Amino acid sequence: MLRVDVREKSFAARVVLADIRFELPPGEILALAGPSGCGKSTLLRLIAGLDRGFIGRIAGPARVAMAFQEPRLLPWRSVRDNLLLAGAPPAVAAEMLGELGLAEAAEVPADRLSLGMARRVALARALAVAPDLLLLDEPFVSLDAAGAARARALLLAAWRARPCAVLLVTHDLTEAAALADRILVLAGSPAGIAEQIVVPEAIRRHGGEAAARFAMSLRA
Amino acid sequence: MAGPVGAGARTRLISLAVLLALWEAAGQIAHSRVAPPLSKVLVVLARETASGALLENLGVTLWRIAASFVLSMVLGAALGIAMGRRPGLDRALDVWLTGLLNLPALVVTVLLYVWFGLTEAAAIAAVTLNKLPTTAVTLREGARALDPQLLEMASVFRFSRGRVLGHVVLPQLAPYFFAAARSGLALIWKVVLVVELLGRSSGVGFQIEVYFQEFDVAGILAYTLAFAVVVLALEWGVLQPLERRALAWRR
Repeated sequence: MLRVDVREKSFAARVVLADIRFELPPGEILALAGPSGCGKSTLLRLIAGLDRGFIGRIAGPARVAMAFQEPRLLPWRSVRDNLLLAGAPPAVAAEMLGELGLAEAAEVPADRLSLGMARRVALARALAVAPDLLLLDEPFVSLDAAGAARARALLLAAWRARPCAVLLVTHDLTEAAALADRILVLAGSPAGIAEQIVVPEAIRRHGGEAAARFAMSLRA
Repeated sequence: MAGPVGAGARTRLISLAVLLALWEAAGQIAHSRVAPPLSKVLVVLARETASGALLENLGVTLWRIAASFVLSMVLGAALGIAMGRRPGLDRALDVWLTGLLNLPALVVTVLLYVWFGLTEAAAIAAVTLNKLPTTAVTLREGARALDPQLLEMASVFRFSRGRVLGHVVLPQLAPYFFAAARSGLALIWKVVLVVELLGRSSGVGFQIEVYFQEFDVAGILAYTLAFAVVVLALEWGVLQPLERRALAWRR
């Protein structure tokens, strides 16, 4: 269980996050939505333990994996070594590369990949370490629509095989509706939780049209 | 690619041959003890090699180069990386480093000989101290340029300290290591001769001093020639291939 209680986070004298409290039980996908620059990524960095300069408490599972906005692969190591170095068991790494269509590229140095492939490798790395909490920071941004849809389907397939708690940061409500059980909308200055939306069971993780229609109804 | 590289090597060889031919001709024309032609220097080189003196002195000097090279690289890199990663330490030690960087080699050498006697340890310490600050400055640059995004990635995935060093930090520092090693070799092989001349009774620097007192320029040039060949062999035979291998991932 991830328990987040952020009273205050400031940069210099400016308070950017205030009074954000939520819980994320194992096996749930929670989307963190809101306009660009509202502090979603800042909150994710606090949860990932990359920034300890805040007032409040965050307690979560020990095994955390993250897919950043950029792939952040080690360019001087092969695709496979990038997974192994992050702590993936060799058999799982091979399986995950296969599932994400990267089996052929396992021995390729990571700096020779296209951006789309590098993103898939970063996703494979995050999934292959079998985390209890998976943090995703706009992992499909800058992929084209078809590529993003495919990556989302791959993520869901991997998650179904081994459900873990997922916290997905996205500015795209359609994406949030297509993946998540719950959506927290961050807004305001300093940013707080403006709205909590439970995605109806009937359309949950069906993706496509249903999610798009639901997202439209939220925007209205 | 074979064409241009081959052509480059041919131009270099011709250029070297012209230099050697000019040297021989000038020496023959000058016909002076203080400006010997190449052939005479080669005779001295052969004589010194046969007697074993050349190899012995060369060996001693190379050992001193190796010892102070390793010491200055390890200590200088440790200092530079620490300063590059910790702004507080950097501010505290920056003045010292700048001072050491600008201290003349001769002053360092003379002081160490005065304080610790004309010993092997003092000689190696003097050469090391001359090289250490440039290594530290180079690696400080490298440590400052480390990609924070990759370090964050390593922290989220709980990389061990060893794994961070071996797979995240050192690959990024490799170009800086080689830059330091390259300039280090060039500096050390010049400084070591001065250090030997001032306070050791063996080595190439000592031998050159002996020849200097006898005004034996052929002897000086013979040792210089042998020494230059060894240093170039190190640069081309060891350093450059290592560098190519370490940076191969960049294509």
